[in-house]
Amino acid sequence: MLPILAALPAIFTAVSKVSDLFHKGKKVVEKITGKPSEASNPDELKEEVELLTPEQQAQWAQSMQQKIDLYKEENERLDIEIGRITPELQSKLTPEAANKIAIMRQTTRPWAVRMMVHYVLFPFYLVLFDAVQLAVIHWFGISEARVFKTFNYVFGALTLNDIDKSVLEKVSSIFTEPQNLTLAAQMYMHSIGWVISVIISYMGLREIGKAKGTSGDEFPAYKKGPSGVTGIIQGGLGLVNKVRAAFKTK
Amino acid sequence: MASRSLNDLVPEVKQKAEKVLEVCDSVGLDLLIYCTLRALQEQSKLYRQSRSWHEIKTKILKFKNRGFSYLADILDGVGPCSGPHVTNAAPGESWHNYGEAWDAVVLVGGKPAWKYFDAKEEWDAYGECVVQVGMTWAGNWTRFKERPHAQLRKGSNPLKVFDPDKIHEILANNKLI
Repeated sequence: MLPILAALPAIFTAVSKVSDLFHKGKKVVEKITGKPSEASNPDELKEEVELLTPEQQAQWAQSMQQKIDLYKEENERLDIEIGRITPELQSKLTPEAANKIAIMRQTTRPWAVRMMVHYVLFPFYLVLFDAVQLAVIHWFGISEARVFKTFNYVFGALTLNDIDKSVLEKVSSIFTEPQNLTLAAQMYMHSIGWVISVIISYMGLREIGKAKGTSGDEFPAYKKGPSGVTGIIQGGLGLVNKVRAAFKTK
Repeated sequence: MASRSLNDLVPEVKQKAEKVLEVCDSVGLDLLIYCTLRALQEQSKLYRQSRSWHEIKTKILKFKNRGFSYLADILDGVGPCSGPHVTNAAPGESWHNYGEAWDAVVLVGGKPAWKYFDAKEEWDAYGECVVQVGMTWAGNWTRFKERPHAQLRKGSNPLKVFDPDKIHEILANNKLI
């Protein structure tokens, strides 16, 4: 019982700030005592509660705590809903706003295409990675270890024999000297054509989508209104007329 | 903090508010009623929190001289309060104190559109709803347009519209005093 009684000051603070909770507090008093609360302000309500027995106070505190939690949740939910565009809310957007969102989405690449762009740049990443790992194994003098030889056979872009070549020469050798490629580089060469096709196709489709826009789409809540001067003169009448019609039918 | 519960409105206004919400919903207009009742004690606290004792005393005297001694007692009774300036209305000077008014905002894309020209069509539709249910829409006022505000009776300041007895009667009928 004690922990819930300790929450009383915080509950009274909440009740004094929110008139909705104040009324609920009065109702809870009535429910517990069977008599209607006569409090006309939070201070009087506090006095009424303090006159209750400890058991009744605990009961009041427990009930009010639930109502305060619910109030907080409702407010939080409201905040979230106000800030978020859900499909339900999106269906109520004006065509202009929906067009803006559609273009924003079209200009954002999906993650798969972003990953493919990294894949195209893989040789550059590999050379850098390989240079670092070669530096490490030579620093510790373990270049003859089998595990590193195996790793280098599969993934290595650099070899000790051509250490004097520039980075660009080593990258270009992947394309010009396919017979000297490592296993990973051969796999890369086989896949790169497909990857580039996907990226180019996506970019092409995205440009077509941007050019087309969503002007032909219909939105459930709004229909495209008149444009130009007519729109300015008649602007707003659509929804107002709907309201008038709704009152006539009801 | 004022209530936003429709249950705090007087029954007639509550019924009208529900009707407005129902019609707005049926035409696809999102509406949020964010303020209904602001009790006299709460209004007094808000009024007092940014004013000097001299200003408050003057207001109390004015209330007493005009026959609103019950409002003067409430303003005096809440005691000292501190905080920012949030209202020009003393207790009884707003229809919210009588449970006969509400403030609402139209939502566009889920967000409140506070500016009229950002959602002209929606605000006009809300105003039409308010008028259709027989309330006064402050968006139709000529001097100061307060578009969120809707009230049952005419006149922006109840104390300038009705005499002290009538005001007391309204508060008593609405069980607020």
